[in-house]
Amino acid sequence: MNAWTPVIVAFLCNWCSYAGADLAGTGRQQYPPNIRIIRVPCSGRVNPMFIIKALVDGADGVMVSGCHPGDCHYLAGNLYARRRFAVLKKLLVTAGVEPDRVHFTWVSASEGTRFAEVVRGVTEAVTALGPNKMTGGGAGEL
Amino acid sequence: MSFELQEKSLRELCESLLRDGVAEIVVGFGESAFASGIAVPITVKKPEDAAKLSWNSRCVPSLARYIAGRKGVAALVAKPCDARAVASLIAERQLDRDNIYIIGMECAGMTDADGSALAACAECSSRRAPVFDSEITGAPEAFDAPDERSAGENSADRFRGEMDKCILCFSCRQACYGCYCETCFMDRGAPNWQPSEPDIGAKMIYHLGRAMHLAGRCVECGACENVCASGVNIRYLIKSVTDFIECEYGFHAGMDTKTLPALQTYSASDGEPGFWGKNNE
Amino acid sequence: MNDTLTKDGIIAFLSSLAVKMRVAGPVRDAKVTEYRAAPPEAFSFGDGVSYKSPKEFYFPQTEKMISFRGGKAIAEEAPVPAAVFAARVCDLEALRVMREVFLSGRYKDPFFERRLEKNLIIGMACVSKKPGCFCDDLGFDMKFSDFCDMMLEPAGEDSFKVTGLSEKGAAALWEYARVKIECDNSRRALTSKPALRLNKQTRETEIFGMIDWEDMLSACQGCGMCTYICPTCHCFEFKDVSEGEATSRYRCWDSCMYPRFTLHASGHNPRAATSERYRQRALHKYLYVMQNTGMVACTGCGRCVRSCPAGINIKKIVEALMEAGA
Repeated sequence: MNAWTPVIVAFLCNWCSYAGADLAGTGRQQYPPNIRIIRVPCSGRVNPMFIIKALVDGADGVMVSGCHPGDCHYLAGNLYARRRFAVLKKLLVTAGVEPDRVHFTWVSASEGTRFAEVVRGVTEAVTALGPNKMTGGGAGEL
Repeated sequence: MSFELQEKSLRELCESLLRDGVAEIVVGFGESAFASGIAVPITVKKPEDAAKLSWNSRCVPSLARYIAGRKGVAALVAKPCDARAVASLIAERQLDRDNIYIIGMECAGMTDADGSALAACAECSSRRAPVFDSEITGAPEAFDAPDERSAGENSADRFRGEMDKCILCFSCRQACYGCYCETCFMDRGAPNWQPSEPDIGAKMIYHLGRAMHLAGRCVECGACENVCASGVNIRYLIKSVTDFIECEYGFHAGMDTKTLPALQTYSASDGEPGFWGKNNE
Repeated sequence: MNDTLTKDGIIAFLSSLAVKMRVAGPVRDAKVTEYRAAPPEAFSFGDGVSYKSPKEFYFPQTEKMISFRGGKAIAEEAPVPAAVFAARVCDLEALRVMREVFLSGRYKDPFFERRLEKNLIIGMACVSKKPGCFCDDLGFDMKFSDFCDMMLEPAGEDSFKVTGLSEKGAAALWEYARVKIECDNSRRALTSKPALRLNKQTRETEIFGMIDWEDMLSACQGCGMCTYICPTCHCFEFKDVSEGEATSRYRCWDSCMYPRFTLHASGHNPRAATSERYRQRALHKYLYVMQNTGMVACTGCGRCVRSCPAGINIKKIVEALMEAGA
């Protein structure tokens, strides 16, 4: 009946992955409706705090997608982001967040099929983990 | 080979630095506020006051934060971790190399009130400052380092357990050399990261956010852990990140005054560990 | 009349109390002694002082004062009362100061009042003075305070002499442990005039220049931990938060050590320097509260002295002021 499905926050770069999502739509590609897209100017704009906040506030998964390395509209935004995301993932895993809750990838504007594929994969991985219990559901009593 | 001899040379050096006008002030350690208490950071301005400086196994506080925003040359009594912090601040253009005189103290690690090694010191392997203007060697024997006290499983339970202890007083932030933002993200109204209640979520946002801000900049001084009244052991988080950065990008913070921190730069050939379709570790 | 309880007897008493109350006490962790709600078996019966005071069970770090939805107030449930176990004399005397601050004036604080009324306070005598402690300088006897429902005093291996100090305490002990004690209202804390005190007549304009505050407090990092673990610090601020369709007003601890505590909307900050902020903390405790109530708002628990990351000792500052004539 009311089967649980995850809520996944997706930060998509305006210049590539967002257009990729658009292409997936116009191309009638099927993918699960679990992602909530937030358009950002560049994957370099994604402050790690966005991801931490999303997880702490109960998002079941987070995905960030930007331009392939070398294709950044701002030349190097995604290259800075690449280091940042690798480090953030290491940090989150150390803090006990399951590796499959957070995903980083590159999808270009012409890769509508790849976008649908990634979303299917991410949704599957997060669904397998079950709901996010990071904060344990509410304030600890003082 | 003792604290006393180092202390004697330190006082002589500082007296001459102040007398000769090489430095206008010396930031160092004074006597402790009560028996078995930590050495209180002091600022010495007159050559005759150099005798107030002390050097012993309770010189715990991190001094790097006391020299920020000063005019004129300040000499700093620097443990290796303090020297690394200063080097890192210089690389980040927060300090002017010409305005700081680093007195590198060879260090065998500091102890807690009961005389046992502080966790960060027991894990530390750098006994000498990487950057200094003068060095005072002759530290006593070090502990049987390195001792992996922060090791343990990376589980959500461990993290939650540490978060439960935290009272969000932010003393770790205040003690950290790297937390020099004028307005911390936790104090900011827009965007307001901090939820109203000091619940587990607020603590996670603070500690994870701070760990990200410190990633690649941490000099492993352990100040965050040493100042914590609640005994929150959060250093293991940042340590895992520091180790990761060292292994992935070959960067070790504060070893010189030129190299930019790992996250403020990039390389076209950086790996993508943990990315979609890559090894998901 | 006095009675003796064993450690096991006290644990059994607290465990049965736990059915209708939150039971809080000192808990020894690997590194520190905490003070928190926990199963009574976990409590420490030793002589160590917890790094935190039991303050939060009277004056929580955040407390919801009122909530609204659609223009109507939502009724709040009253908080679950707490049994505060092994509060030290310094903590009990601090509660006396808090009562003076919150309940003696024209406006009474209903939030503090309801907790003080419902909570059960079990005091514990200290055997020895710990490093940094100075309650004797403030005229307190570390072995006894009457500001509690019952007072425990260590009397040999795992046994404690209990003195009943209120009907509430005696009734609870009878109801939950079947131990009958008589309420001894006559026994009073042996307090003497504090040796560590400032002259009430000292004027603020003088005292600001009496010592070199900046030099004395140059080590202060401004972290504010001292105010969080202090048993008498009681400054707070309000925060209005929207929670879905409802809006709630919270009272949260604030600290005079934070720069934002006095920051004006114009951007001006009358206490911009850390030393000025610590000066406020010291003088609030030793001068301003005394001018208002006659009490010194520091009970010498030594917590801020022991925990200060920069090793600042408030006693030394007050001594310097006394030497300078304050």
